[in-house]
Amino acid sequence: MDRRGAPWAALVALAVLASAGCLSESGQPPSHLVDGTRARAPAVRLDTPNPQIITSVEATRAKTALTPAARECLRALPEHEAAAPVVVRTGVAGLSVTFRTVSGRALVACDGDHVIRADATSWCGRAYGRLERGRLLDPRLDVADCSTPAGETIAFAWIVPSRATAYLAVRQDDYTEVYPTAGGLPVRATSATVAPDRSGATFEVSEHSASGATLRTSTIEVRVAG
Amino acid sequence: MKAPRSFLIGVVVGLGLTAASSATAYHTRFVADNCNYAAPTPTSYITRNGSATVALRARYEGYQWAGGCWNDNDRDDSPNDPHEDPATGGEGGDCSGFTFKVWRESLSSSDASFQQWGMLRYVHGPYTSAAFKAGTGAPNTTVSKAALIKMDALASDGHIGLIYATNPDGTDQIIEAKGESYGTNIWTRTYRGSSSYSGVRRTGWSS
Repeated sequence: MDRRGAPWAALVALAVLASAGCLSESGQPPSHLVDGTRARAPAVRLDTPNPQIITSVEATRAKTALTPAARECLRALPEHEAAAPVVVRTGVAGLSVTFRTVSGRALVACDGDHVIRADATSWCGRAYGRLERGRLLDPRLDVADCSTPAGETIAFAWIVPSRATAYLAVRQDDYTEVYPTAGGLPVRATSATVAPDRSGATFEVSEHSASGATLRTSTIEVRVAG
Repeated sequence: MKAPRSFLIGVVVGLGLTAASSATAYHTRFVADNCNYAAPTPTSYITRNGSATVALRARYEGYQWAGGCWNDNDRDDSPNDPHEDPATGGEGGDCSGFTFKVWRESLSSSDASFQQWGMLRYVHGPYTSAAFKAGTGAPNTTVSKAALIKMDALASDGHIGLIYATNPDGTDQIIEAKGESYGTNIWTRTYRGSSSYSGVRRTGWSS
């Protein structure tokens, strides 16, 4: 092996990490979301630990107006006919597409960990959750194949917010990721707190009103199932 | 006359609340009393017949959502626990946990090595049936349904079962952890003909 290449390789690796927005230097929040857009604080200050990063969300009701990510997800899962809305979320480490099936009996998601270009997302996971009288039976934890550029596993799971919740916040190592609720669908959130030996993950969650007040907090332990 | 009627209504409501409460609080002691967290034993190879033997030891045992621990006494030691509740502590695997263990996979999805898990080792593995269906992870790959043979799998986004044998009429005998009401057993299935199901194979079989 050519050892002279090692420092350059390390610099390149650092640059990749920084550009992906996943590098947190001495407690600084990530500077970008996974799609390369600049990370921002929420417009409403939430009663939850700082720094806070708002994730982006698009809830599309018309199939003709689907974003590229939503279109790709639907194309990847042709066996599931989507009912509107189709919700696309872009966070610091992952992005997701969630929709209810036309039958109303299931919730489906595509999980992604990087964006190749504006019209191409690489899906690293998928989820299918049964709905019983509209209630999601299981959060459908996905820890199989999604990871940060540094190789750390990213866990995806649906979290069902209360009706009054406007923002759902998930505590990460060095920051709090904030998800606006949208489309009346559960929020597909990510967590880096993964326990491979028990095929599980932990989500430290707080729910907030439109004014930012805390409605409830919870530690949600989820497991891979079914 | 009104007092006895309200008393009766009260009793009925009370019984209903008691039933609802015990349904949500249902727990068995199977996992706590029997299961372990022992490390798996790495093995250098696996065979389809060997994995069928592993699978048959789970036959007639129970089903547990997110579970993966069973004995070999040919009965469900925690019958009728609530559906899709990972906390009930019952016997058995679910469909994907059963597949993970029978295919002797690793907890790391980047590792395709063979790992022998004890029957009573409480483990599920990182894959849902949807992940298996997509061929996610180093040990798993998708294959055409026509090419499937013994101990390959048919997976949908909500379920996975292993091919134990193929019937002359084109249906398959599937060994699967089917559900809380059914446990783990072999049933004749038409998954191969269903568009919801795809073919999945564990890589690296010796024979």
